[in-house]
Amino acid sequence: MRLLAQPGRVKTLAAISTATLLLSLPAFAEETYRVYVANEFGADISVIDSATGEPIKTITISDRPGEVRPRGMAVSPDGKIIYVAVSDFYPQRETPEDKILAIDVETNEKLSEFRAGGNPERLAVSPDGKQIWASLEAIASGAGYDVATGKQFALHKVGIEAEGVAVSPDGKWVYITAEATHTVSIIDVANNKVVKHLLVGNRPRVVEFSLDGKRAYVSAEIGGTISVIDTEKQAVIESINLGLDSRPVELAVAPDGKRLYVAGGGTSAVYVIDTETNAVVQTIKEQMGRRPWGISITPDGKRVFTANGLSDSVSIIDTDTLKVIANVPAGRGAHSAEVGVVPSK
Amino acid sequence: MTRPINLLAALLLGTVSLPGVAVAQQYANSPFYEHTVDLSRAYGLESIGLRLDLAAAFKAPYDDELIETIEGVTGPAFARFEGTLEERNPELAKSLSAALHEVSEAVEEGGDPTEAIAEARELLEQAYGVVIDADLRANPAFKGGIILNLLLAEEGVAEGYEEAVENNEPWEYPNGWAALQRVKALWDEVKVSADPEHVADGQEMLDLLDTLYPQAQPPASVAGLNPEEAESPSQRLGGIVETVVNADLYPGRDLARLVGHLGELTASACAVYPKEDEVAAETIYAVFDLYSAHVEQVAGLFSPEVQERASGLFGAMIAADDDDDDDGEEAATTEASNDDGDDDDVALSAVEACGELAEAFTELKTVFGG
Repeated sequence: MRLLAQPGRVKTLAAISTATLLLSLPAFAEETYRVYVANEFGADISVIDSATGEPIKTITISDRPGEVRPRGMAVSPDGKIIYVAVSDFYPQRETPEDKILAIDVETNEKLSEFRAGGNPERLAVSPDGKQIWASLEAIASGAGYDVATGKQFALHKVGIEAEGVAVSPDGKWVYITAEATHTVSIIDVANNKVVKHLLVGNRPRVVEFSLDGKRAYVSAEIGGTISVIDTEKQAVIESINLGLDSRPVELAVAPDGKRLYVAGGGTSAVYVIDTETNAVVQTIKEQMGRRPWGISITPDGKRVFTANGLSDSVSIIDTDTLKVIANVPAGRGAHSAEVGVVPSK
Repeated sequence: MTRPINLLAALLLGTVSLPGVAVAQQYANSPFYEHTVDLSRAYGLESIGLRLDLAAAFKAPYDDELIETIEGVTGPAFARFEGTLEERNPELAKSLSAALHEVSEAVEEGGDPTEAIAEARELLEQAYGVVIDADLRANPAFKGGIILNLLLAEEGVAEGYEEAVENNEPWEYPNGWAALQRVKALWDEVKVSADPEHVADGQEMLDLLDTLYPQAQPPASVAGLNPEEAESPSQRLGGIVETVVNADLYPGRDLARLVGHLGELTASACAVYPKEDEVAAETIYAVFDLYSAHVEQVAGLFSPEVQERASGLFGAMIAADDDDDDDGEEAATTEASNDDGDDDDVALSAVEACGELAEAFTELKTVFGG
């Protein structure tokens, strides 16, 4: 297992604490999870065993790193498929690679892919697994795709520089953030229209729903806040202040719904929020990798993984102790993290 | 003259939600609020300095696009502080203007502008001292504001790269390069009070930006480059600078407050417009910068009619650059463009336009929950 002792500038492989950390990473008997990290600059996906921290595979997304970038990811409801938003920054090419790619968690092979022009940045899967929604950054739009056919069935103008996207647990609403207009646009899926724009914190990045769908949480990178949206009223009801230097990006709601984990890129910290009180109950900084943007949690709620873009690493957090228990290498420009479930034999 | 707005209709239709977004105070200083017009004046002075740097970095024959950039030494950048300089030292204003024209002409004619550049630089430095109070200029928070502008404003580090790559305009690239060199010089000044971790973090971002801007010369090809590449390190450096200089450098965090502030500034300009056009225009330049950077796009989404009207009014007061290349990024309900040939707006005098703009800001403040 390659562990990074110090998540700082020098990526020194740990010799001192490896044994200790290995012991502190218990294998999960019930289910096996795999962590997927989209490496923006390496144009590949790191696959990591969640129990051991061992690298399993590096999946090449493109032979044009830099030009083609995997960024946001989403997982199917059963955990068996990872979807990756792939952006091509040279779209004038004859065969541009703006697309959504599906990866089989069991085999780590590409299952399918379909074109998604307009610089797809982030994705969300509907609760029934039949639809994928994408934010299309370059054309200020949100688009819906049929998973079975890859056909685009919806395209809506939203705010400028569309970024985060989430589908409500009942599948009726899609929320899409926009960095330049500081908004969340709400799409009524059944009626296929944008019904409202909400002003949230400055430069919103990612949106996630609570498990019961009554709340949506929106990270605001420049605002240093999490906007809490009452989904019934479709209104911002609270702004959780993380500090102007926090620069929050991705969010992960714990499987029991009691905690919200926030990747703070500015402070290289993970903020742990009690969803009952909306108070920050812990700020995890010690041993964190640098500039965490991505964050994901295992379905059993025991581990949190962050994708650290400046140290090209993944920090593993034990949710009982709320401490970093290991740092493992990822690829260049670790952007997002997602957890897949290996089907039990 | 007031026009009907669609705010009420939008509210009734339920397409607008008033935000209630509170912004916590964390830093001791807010230079974009406390020294709004002085920061704009300083940016004008800096902008001329960058153009002189470009004139010195290249040799004749200059590219046509570069000539156009350098000729900007006598344009809006100068107008940002011209009124104040003339008021305080008319002789210097005249000398500086003449020296800048000399640089511009030398570059255009393919001559050697070296001597003209040296003279212009000396006069520009004198002008800086006249226009900006020495204590303010030395203030770290004020320097932080200048750094933020150099990083993120039009022709800055992030935008220069984006314009060059996204719109295939390679001669935007040297603008970003020149801005980066100035950022590095200012960073060296403000970092003396920073802790080692922030110094290292800031240097790392500058090193990243250096890899994007290895030289003044534009890259041979921009195909396949990410236009947003310079934005991430610029933004991160901006955040580090905020902490180092203990100042909130993102005035758009609280839109209601910002719009209210711009309304007050506009009203103050309106009060002096009939007598002191150039001084009033300096305020309007400052308002325009913050409006176009932080308000215009959001207003276009929530209240497109007010946004269209407000955006069109600036042209009656200042040489606002409406050449905005948003391409496909037009927001959902934005129907207006800034240069739509609205004859009513064009016909307005500066005084009338100023009054209407102040009124528009009052309406926008309501939109943003103020």
